[in-house]
Amino acid sequence: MAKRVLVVDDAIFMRNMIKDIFASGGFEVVGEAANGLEAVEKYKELKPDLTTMDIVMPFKSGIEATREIIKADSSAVVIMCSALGQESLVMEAIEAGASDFIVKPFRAEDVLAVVKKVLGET
Amino acid sequence: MTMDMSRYLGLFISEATDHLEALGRDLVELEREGSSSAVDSMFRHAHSVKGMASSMGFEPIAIVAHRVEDLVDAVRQDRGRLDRDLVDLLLTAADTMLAQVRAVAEGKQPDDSAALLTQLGQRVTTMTGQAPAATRVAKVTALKPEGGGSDGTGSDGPGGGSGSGSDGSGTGGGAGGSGTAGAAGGSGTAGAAGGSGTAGAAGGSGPAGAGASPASTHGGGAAGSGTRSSVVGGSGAAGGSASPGVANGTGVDGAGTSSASPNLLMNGGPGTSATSSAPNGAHGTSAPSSPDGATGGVVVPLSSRRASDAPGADAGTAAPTPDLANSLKAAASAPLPETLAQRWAVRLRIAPTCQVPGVRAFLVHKRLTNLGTLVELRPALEELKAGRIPDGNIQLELETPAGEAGIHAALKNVAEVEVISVKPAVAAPVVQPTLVPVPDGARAPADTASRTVRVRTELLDYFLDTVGELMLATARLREVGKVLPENTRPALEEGVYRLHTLVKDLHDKVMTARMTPLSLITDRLPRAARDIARRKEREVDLVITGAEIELDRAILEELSDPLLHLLRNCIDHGLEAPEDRAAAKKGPRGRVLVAVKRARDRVIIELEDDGRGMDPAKLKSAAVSRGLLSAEAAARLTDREAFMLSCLPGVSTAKDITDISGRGVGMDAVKRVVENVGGTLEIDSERGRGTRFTLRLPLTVAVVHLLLVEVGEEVFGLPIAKVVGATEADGESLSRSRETALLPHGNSLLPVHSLDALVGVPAPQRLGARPFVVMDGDSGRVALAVDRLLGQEEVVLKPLSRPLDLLPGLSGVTILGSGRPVFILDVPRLLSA
Amino acid sequence: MRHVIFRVEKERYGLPLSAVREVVVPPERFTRVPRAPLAITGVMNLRGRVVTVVELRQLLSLPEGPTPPGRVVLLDRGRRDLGLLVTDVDGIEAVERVSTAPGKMTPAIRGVARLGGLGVTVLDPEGLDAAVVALFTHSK
Repeated sequence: MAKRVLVVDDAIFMRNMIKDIFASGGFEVVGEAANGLEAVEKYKELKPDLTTMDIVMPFKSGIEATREIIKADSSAVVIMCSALGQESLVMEAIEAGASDFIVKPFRAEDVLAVVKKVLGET
Repeated sequence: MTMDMSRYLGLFISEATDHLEALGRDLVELEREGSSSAVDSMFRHAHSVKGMASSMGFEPIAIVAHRVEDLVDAVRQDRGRLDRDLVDLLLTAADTMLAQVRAVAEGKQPDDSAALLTQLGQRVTTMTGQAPAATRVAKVTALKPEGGGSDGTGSDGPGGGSGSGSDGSGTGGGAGGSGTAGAAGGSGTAGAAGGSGTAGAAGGSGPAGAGASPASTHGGGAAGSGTRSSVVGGSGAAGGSASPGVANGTGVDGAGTSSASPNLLMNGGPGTSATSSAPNGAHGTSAPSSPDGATGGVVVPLSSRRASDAPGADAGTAAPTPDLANSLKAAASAPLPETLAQRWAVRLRIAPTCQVPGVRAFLVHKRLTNLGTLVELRPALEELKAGRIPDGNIQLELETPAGEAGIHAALKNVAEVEVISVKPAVAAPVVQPTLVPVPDGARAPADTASRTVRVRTELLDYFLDTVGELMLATARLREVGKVLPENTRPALEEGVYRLHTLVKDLHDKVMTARMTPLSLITDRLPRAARDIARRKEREVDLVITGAEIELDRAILEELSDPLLHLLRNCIDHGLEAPEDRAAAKKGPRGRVLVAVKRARDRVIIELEDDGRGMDPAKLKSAAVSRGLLSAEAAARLTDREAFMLSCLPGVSTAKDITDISGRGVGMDAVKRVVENVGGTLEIDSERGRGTRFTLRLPLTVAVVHLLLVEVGEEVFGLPIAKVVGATEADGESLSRSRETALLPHGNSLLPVHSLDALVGVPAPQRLGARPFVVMDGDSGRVALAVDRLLGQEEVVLKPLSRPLDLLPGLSGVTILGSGRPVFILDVPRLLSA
Repeated sequence: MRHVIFRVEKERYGLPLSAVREVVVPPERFTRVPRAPLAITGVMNLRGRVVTVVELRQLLSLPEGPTPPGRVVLLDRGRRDLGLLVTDVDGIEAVERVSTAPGKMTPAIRGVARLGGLGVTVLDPEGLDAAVVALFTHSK
């Protein structure tokens, strides 16, 4: 069964790009969220196998959202979407329980490589 | 494979326009209201535009957005930085980006707006003190209409990687792979690289992903079955890195996980693995259990010739307390009877293609610390986090009951990391989780082996913390007792006295348990010496004696960098070139001796070279020319005092700043670290004969002796080690040189500093006689004017937590018996900061 | 999400409950921190730990005036022993919709919310943390 993915980013552009990448990799994107608050709600509602999480977002940062998601579900798999220069934020997210990360701008194969690795599909 | 970005163009244009317009609105609002209500959302707008533009490959837009992001971030940190000029500049930038987006919408190249970029860059530099960072942009060929046509091969199809244009579906057959690349399947270039046979590991997502992505039919997978399957995410081979946007770069460990999996089956549980701890060759040189190793002197010939002239005799004399130390070490090297957590030596490599190796390494660190206790990590965590990982290689030792399989499992799901090896590690000779002798008989030379148990280092830290708090609580009880009625006091005092004795004893025991042999850090030195010597084209014999002597772990950890720096100093500046040595009638090979000795409650570390020695006159003139010292004062200095001038920031006799020296840890930092752990540094040197650095260190760091002084209503601690004396004088009657009052002391005049002004604490003006504390400063003695001397106290030092550690001039904090927190001052830094 | 609601003078603030370790009564006097920024009230001894206490009013650049030292809200931010000096603590309330605050956006402020008909400024623990560190790094 295809793995279910939640995509969190405040830019539609990014969400669409990430959604397409996942679709091309045989994943099912079951939901998206545009900020950290929504992300936590959607996560609890959808219980996806995997969540990609932007860091800089309105209302609640991706780090805080990750922390809350992990608190609610310690087995949650959250992958941070970061930009170069956000290293310390990503480390904070890892401390908060993020499973892995990808660096923008990313290539489809990089994203899928990390995701499949994290899900133990390779 | 690159993605077909053209499909996102419409979305990019509309969304980027939205963000940029909002950015403009925020700026205008900001200017009109004079508030900074919108700074945060401005940051997000700029950040979003940067991310989108870089994904689209629109470099000019991405760079402008990046600069704007930097500037807004700086404003976010400090809103005082926002001025009208900056608002103007940001508005121009927003307008420029809008124009660039419009250009893109019309199928034109966005203008690179070089003039604006220069302005933005300059502003970033002045505001943050740092040059603007490079902007990374996806390599997307400019979206030519004709490029979009080829997406018939699958949803993730074409896009033409970096100019090569065509989608390579089908051409990758040369790889001989399974022919089914996964979603990340290769383009033509991937196939080409696959031909070399080494790309297999990289292209591995092909077969693995096949089931998940039936849509993909590219042939580029290149799952070369001959390569080591444990290579994970490595940049495959030729071609991949040269042409980003092409698929073979970062495949996933696909084809043959099989070579890793046998290991998973081998785990025999802790019991059996204990027996498999074959001696680790790397540590072989210093195995201290062999009786003829006597004091554990290690002679390391650094090039293969003439190892024999290394002074083994020195080793014999160097360690005054061999029996005790050796018996402990014998215990350490004996097989451990029952260990719950087996220790494993793990070697890893971060893939060279990894863009942020620091974060990658941090993730690995996190995964492994979840598994057990990391007892050794190279590079150190701070280095790892900063991404300073030579060749991506990481070595560590991990204590975990999870076993080899557990370690593999923990790292299995981490991309871009290759597990090179996981082997059982031999506990001896470097035992960081200290062997705790069972009380009493444990120190007898004979039957110690069966009476030790291993303890996690965090647990030891916890013990120490808790015992420290017990000491504080005891002191508090004693204070309370003082206000009780006379007749009830004796009983309480007796109880408190007994408690105090017990706690003190417990503290001593905990400290003993924290003792760790110097070899923990000296084991690094031979390798470092070799590297430094090679770069300087010198030949060096490094002799280390007494490395089995033990120090508190906390001190040991602090000393690692200073020792390395001193060694560097000896080889880099101390030793002459071979021809100069010949002229001076010395052997061609330089010698550096590191001797560790124990003298009562101190450990002495000497680093000595047989090089050219230091020139006191040169040091003096360098210090004078930098205005650190008057010529008269310099003339009065003894040679020994002159050598210490090398520890002033900026003074060094070495004319050549090579890449070996000058790495941020200067002699001033060495001296500071040594003093902060309660030690002293001395330098002896003789021209033409060599230089010796002597570090005298306390065995433990946690208890310090303070002189407590009062300033205004505040109390501060001054380390007794730095206090020369105290005297009383009338501040008004002191002679002055310009603004500085001068206090007569011995037969010199010391500059007077008012402690209230130094620490920024208000204190009432004082008339008449007041106390002065005379202290050693970096450039000679100074007198501190205080309001009252409160006496001496032995206290438990606490390190400073965030954000206090950001302040200069504090070396720690403690809590007095009264419950009052008191800061311990680092006077030299207070004076210089 | 449940928030700890407290006041600085009459202004109400909220911090996520998960970000607050405890609320304590401040000591009679704080130990002053040498060369610290103005917003740092000082340090206090909390059962053997040394806690740095920050005046929230100064941190948020509110109008001048000393905060009557009513309570210290201790943050639960990893090992940073940090406390906020506030006038009083009202209690714990569920705060739902947080919207962008008009006119007072700093990293320390997440937004505003309505609570029983009154406005509450919702603080961002990470932003607070960053603001404190920024105070120190910029004061050098």
